[in-house]
Amino acid sequence: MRSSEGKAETASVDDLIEAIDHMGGPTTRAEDGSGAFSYEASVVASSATSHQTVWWRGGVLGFFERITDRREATLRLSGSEMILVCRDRERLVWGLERIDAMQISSRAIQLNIRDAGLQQMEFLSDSPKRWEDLLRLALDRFYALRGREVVEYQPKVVTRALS
Amino acid sequence: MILYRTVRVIAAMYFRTILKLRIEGAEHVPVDGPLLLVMNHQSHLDPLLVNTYCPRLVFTMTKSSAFRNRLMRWIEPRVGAFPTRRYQVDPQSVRVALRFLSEGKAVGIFPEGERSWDAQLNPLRPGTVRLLLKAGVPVIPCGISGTYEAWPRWGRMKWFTMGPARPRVTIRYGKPLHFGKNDDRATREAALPEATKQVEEAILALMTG
Repeated sequence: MRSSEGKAETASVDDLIEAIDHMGGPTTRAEDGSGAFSYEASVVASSATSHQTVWWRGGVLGFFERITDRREATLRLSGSEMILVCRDRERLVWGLERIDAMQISSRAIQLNIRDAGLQQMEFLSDSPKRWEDLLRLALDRFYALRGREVVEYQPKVVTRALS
Repeated sequence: MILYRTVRVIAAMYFRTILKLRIEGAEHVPVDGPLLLVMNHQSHLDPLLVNTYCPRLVFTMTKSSAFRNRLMRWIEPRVGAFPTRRYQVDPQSVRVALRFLSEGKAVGIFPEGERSWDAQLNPLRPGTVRLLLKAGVPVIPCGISGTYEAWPRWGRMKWFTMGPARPRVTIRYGKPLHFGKNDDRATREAALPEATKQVEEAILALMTG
């Protein structure tokens, strides 16, 4: 972070998140009455329906995802579900157990969802880091209730039995 | 790799003007033969600086989204970058890394898998350490410091800072680590915790000098 004099200073992510919370936070959240929170944010959602090959000197160097179907939407995290609501479209609901991987890429969160492929959410007025922390927490809680703990979030969500 | 070599010469002159750059331990990097260079990742500057100032050409594992743009897709392979899809297990990127190593090249990897948000070393990805254990080539740890101050993940880079206000950046190479070749999966898994600890400690020591 930078001080008011423009000097770079080091601060832990936890401190920064706490500071955001103190400021009210940009994330919209609401309590559902049972004590559980739901969160939502405006996003530009897109998905990767195919992969393209990178060729180099006659061989395959690798693959990258082809991002398509960009549309404005509202992303909601509620209990053990993620809900994507797009105007004029059927809402998409993904249970947390279907998240195979999760990570930040630049200003977006990328979720690899079982049977739905790579879904990318670029946040319009919120922090992808905050959402990554939120989703990690949600996954941790989701698996803890099932007697497991998450040991990796990418390239694959890996869990093990709680000791 | 004409473009790569040309870019290295131009970039080397440019970065010296905008950064107070210090490179230590370059003698630890063998001039030929396969090697894996494992570095901490604080900034977009890290791959640019390492690919510019490493004593030899480095082929760097790069996030696949960097290849989405048509121009970058043309440039990236020519400056030693090859893609890896970070949101899924990507066996192709491992195959390419092993192919480069079998050709005696140097492969660069950021084992944290992403840039740090606060200049601290993130936990290393087990998949990367498995690759080190499978490859059986010398592993050169490298600690980069100062790039967080120059261009943090959440901020912008000042591309034209000159004079005494230039950020101070240090790249330190460490002595090679040897893990042997662990072809057997069970052996690799058994060696994983200790190897992770060794690499983490080596990078941390080099980051702090």
